[in-house]
Amino acid sequence: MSNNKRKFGFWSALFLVLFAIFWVGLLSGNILWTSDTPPLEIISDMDNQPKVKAQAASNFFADGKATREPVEYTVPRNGTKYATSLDDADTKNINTIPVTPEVLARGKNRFETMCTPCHNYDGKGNGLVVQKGFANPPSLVRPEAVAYTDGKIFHVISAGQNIMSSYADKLSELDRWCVVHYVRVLQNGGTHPKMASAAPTSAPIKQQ
Amino acid sequence: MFTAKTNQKSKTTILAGLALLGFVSLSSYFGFNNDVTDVGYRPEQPIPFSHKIHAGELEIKCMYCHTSVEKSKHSSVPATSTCMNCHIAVKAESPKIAKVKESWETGKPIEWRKVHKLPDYVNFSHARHIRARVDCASCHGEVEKMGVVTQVKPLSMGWCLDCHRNPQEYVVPARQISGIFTGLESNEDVAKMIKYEKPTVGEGKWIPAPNSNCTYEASGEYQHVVGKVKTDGMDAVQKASLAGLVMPKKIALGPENCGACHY
Repeated sequence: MSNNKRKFGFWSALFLVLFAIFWVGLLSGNILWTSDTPPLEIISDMDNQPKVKAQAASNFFADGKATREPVEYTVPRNGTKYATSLDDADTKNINTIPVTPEVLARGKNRFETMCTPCHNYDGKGNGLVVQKGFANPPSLVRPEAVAYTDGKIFHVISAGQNIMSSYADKLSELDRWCVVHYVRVLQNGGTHPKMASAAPTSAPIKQQ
Repeated sequence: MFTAKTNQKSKTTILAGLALLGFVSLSSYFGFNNDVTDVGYRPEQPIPFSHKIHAGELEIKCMYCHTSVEKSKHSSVPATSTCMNCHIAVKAESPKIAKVKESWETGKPIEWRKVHKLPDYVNFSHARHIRARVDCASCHGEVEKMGVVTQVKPLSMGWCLDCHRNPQEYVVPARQISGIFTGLESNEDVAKMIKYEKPTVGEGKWIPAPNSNCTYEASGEYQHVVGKVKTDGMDAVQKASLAGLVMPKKIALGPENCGACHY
């Protein structure tokens, strides 16, 4: 009899300890543990619907991808015929985007997002990725680059150059022209040649 | 049948039953909570990609890779070619990069594991939130400090509503590391702008969903933005050429009617 009583005492104590740990974990509202297993769905409702989702896998298509690629030789409906080589970039890539504060602000934002890893914020190169071992790009503000036409800069962004890849998938055509305008701002020392009075008003954002 | 111990036994049974009932009900109530089930999900990725190195140390903006976030409902996982933009030269010999290179050469996608998952009946739009200058960290935490991405917010409906009712308490204004386009305003201005008007639900007036039928792109919402593109004195060609410019959206209290997200 006394044996049984001792057993009961042990189990209840263990239970209380586990119970306390469980409740502290639940109610503290902090992450106490991380898990590699997908979240538990106790009542799954309609959380997981058997439909095609963005960038998911799919057994329906032969290549196993739910996301489809355009058929070969597809051209955009409103697409413009841009140059395919640097030689005809001057004549085929015509910059029709007007210089407005919005365009310059957008160009600054896209430049600082897409270009600064290598070209740095001032366009002179030696960005943080370059310091990790990427080839240092030539300065964007050197005289040869200033002499580039808008169309040529557009072509370099679209098709890449040397080790630089194409940024056509990351920057829309309009965004590329905005970046071209912003490169002119960098080359002109903070103002756009066509808009001498107004520097880009998107203030430099400091890291918080 | 009734012994001297019967009283004791029945008392114990009742107390144990009540304790069990309380335990089961309370733990199921809290245990069903997304705070418990979802927060802390940290899947191992096929390639140990570190946001801490790429975003934290190298200051590559979130939108360098997740490009579709300001234009689409979904924030895209980058194509392998994006990795190869740099890794064609940087650490090209590393065995971890060999896997990326293999995917790049064969065209077979890397099977990244999704961390943040909303229920499939929720039509959350990244573009709306990004264009309202809501920083990525508001929902995903400070990913630039994470070696392995971990879910830090419950992403439950109650959590969404908490923020939609009191955004000034939860919204992180756009930070530089995100690469969010804030229009013509500086970040300080944006922080000041995150001041919302209280809804007038108490007076029986519902806030209409601004655009609940998912025609975000087609409706040309950039027309209604704060930083509206000034087209005075431009000819038709120039006006048309600016039509696709991504501009921030007016900061306003988001929809609180059910149909705005569930339709």
